[in-house]
Amino acid sequence: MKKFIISLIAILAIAFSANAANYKVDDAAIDALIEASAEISPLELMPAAAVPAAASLSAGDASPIASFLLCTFLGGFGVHRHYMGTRPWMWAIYTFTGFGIFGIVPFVDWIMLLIGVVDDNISAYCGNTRFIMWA
Amino acid sequence: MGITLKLRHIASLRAAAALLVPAGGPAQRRISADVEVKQAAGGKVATVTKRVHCSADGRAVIHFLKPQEYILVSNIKGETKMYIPSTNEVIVDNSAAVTSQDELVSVFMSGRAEDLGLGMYGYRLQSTTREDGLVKKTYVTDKAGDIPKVEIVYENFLPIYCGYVDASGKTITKTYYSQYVPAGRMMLPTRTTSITYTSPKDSSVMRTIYSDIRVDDDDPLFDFQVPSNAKVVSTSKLLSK
Repeated sequence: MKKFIISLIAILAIAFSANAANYKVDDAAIDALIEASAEISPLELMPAAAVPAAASLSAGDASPIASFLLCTFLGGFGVHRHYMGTRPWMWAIYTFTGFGIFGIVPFVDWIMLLIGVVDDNISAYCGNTRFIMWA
Repeated sequence: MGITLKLRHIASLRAAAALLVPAGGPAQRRISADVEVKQAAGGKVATVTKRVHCSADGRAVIHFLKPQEYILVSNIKGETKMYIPSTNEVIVDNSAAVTSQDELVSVFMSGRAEDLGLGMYGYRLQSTTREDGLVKKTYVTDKAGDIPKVEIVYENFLPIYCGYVDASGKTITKTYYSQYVPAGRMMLPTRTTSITYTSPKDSSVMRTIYSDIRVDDDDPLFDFQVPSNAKVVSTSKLLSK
């Protein structure tokens, strides 16, 4: 929790300095933020067959770690959405919108799932039928 | 005297020509680089490392090393193969979901540094303004579902900032490009930082560092071909439930 609060303060400070410096970011502050964060090795926690064999998993068993990893590897294809349960054509929406609007959608999905890993809760995204699951 | 003048004239012409060659012109055939991506959110950080191999013909071979090894081969048409060495499997996708132009090195190499590849996605230039000695260009799209506005700021003709603005006018992602180095006849940023604001209180930081940049080297991965005995896994099978 302490690390989280420190990271939050650091991110806000970085955002403020980025505005003040007119389109430049404080690299030292970014480096300090990353150094202060705890490195996670999600693959060590991952069931061996989960990537890329997503078809063997069912939505009801969706784990935050598995969802996060699928988004990491195959986020542009929307594979993580099918793993968590969504409409059958969701993958097409991801692929046909230029890799999820040039990567922005899976990128934000990735962040939300990373937070889900930290909180051990991704229930809001399971069975979610919206294209932008976090909206 | 006449020869000296002629040589000077030729030198001047060559210098002028060099300035006219767009960034990423045909001067270099191949560029490879180590890439380390660190993404931090909520006090946690995850690392992805890869080596990218980009060719002038638009082909890109990206060798992911961490957290899992796989090799992504893509071209400018969006024909993509993802080879997983540990299982000798390959995922083939021809839907243009991923193209070699999704890789920053390819964007710079193909001369698309000015709009950072936005033109490929249907964005058009709306306005150009000057701000504190910097040039700011605003790109827009009417395509439903896409980020409606993207702002790019240039310093010395090189992009240093890219902001994605949502429909409400709020910048949801800011990307900073810095520490440019020459790579062949183009300039390449060796550090990018993206800050995405997921909510008023939360944000995520992604730092990407490029190192060991080699121009026209002979790394065999430039010509990587998926083994003919690799088991093909279709995306439709992967996604079926």
